[in-house]
Amino acid sequence: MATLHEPHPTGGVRPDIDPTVRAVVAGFLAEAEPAPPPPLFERGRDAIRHHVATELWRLDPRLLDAVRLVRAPEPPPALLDAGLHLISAHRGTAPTASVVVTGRFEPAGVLAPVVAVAAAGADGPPRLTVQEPGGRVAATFERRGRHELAVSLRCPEARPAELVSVAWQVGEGPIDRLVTPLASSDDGAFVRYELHVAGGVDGRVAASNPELVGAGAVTAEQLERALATPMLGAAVRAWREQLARGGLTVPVAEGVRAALARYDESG
Amino acid sequence: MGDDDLTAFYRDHYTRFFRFAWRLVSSEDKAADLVHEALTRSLPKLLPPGGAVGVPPEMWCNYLFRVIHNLAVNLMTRTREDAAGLTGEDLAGVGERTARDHAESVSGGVDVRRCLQALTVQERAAFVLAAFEGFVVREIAELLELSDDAAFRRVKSAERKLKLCLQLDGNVA
Repeated sequence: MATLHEPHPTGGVRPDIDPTVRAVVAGFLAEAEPAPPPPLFERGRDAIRHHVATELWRLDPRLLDAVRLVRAPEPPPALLDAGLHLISAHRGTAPTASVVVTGRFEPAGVLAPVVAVAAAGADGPPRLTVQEPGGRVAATFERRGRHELAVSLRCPEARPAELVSVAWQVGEGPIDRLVTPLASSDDGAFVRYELHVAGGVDGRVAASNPELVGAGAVTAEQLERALATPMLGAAVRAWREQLARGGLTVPVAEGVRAALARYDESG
Repeated sequence: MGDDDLTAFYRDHYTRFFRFAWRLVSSEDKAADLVHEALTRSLPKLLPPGGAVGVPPEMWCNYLFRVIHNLAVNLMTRTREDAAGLTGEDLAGVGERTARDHAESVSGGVDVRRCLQALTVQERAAFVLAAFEGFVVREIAELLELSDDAAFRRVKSAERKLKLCLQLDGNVA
């Protein structure tokens, strides 16, 4: 009878696994085990954005509120890259995708900007959360199939004809196509768009879709406009610096952390 | 130790972590998620802010294994995908199979998969760590947060169940 264990060179005791069992299982694993996908951190900017967002959330959920981006109840929100539109996907658990749309109405100056997050789960309707910096604009999302979202902006004090800036990009950003302004209400306070999201609303697709990786979305000016909050501005700037240096993943998290620490110290 | 060290460590060990996670959850996507989540959750412990003392670098690997295991247990509990263990129903008819059946099923990978999935995730983890990762009992106990005796029993329990399920207990014709 084989011994149950044998001494290990390091001094520990190594269980003596039946060689036949081990061989059969090893054979199966060798055949069935997939090659590992690239580490999430190396899959591109979407993944990094998600990481940054997750880090922010874990550091302090109020950070999200600070930039008028709303966190989903749980898990850590697939969040933000403020001003960028398709943020990221939190794989494995809903919500699976988030879309941020910024907009501005003029000349009423009612809001600047509106930022809304629709976390679209793989099943069922998207979870919707909206923040209204001006308090007078409402945005709603409706998922229409796998690739389209409808977004409605309602502003009682401005007309859609005066909508001067809706900061999603068309043509090259994650939201790659503005399908159509669908309708506006008679009083002009309501405007509705449909958006086509490259890679689908399903975040799992979006996270790995090369079309979304590195697509960028906004100019520095747009970003700065969207980042009215110094705290997040510092974090994102740090993140961008890290990207520029070629740093990925962990350095990103550290950069964000350091930026937030600097912010805290500055009072 | 700093960011660069941790990044290098992660890249060096990523395949190993993924493989371990996959062996626990049998899903490529879930395994990738688990590994990423484990690292994200571990960051404050590995590289604590403000110069605080974190997990020593020589323990990073074991620490990540433990986090991956804990996350896998949580995932399985949440999704109820984990079998409660090898039940009588799982084993029904095992003794009636022929050696030829066994050979065919093993060659097709079907029975091995089923037998692995019939283990609890804790048993799977203990077996994988012992059989394929080269961990000693003490290390397995630390990773799984068990006593040495309990860790050893878990390994042997997994082995025994696998042996029985795969008809490798000497009764195969």
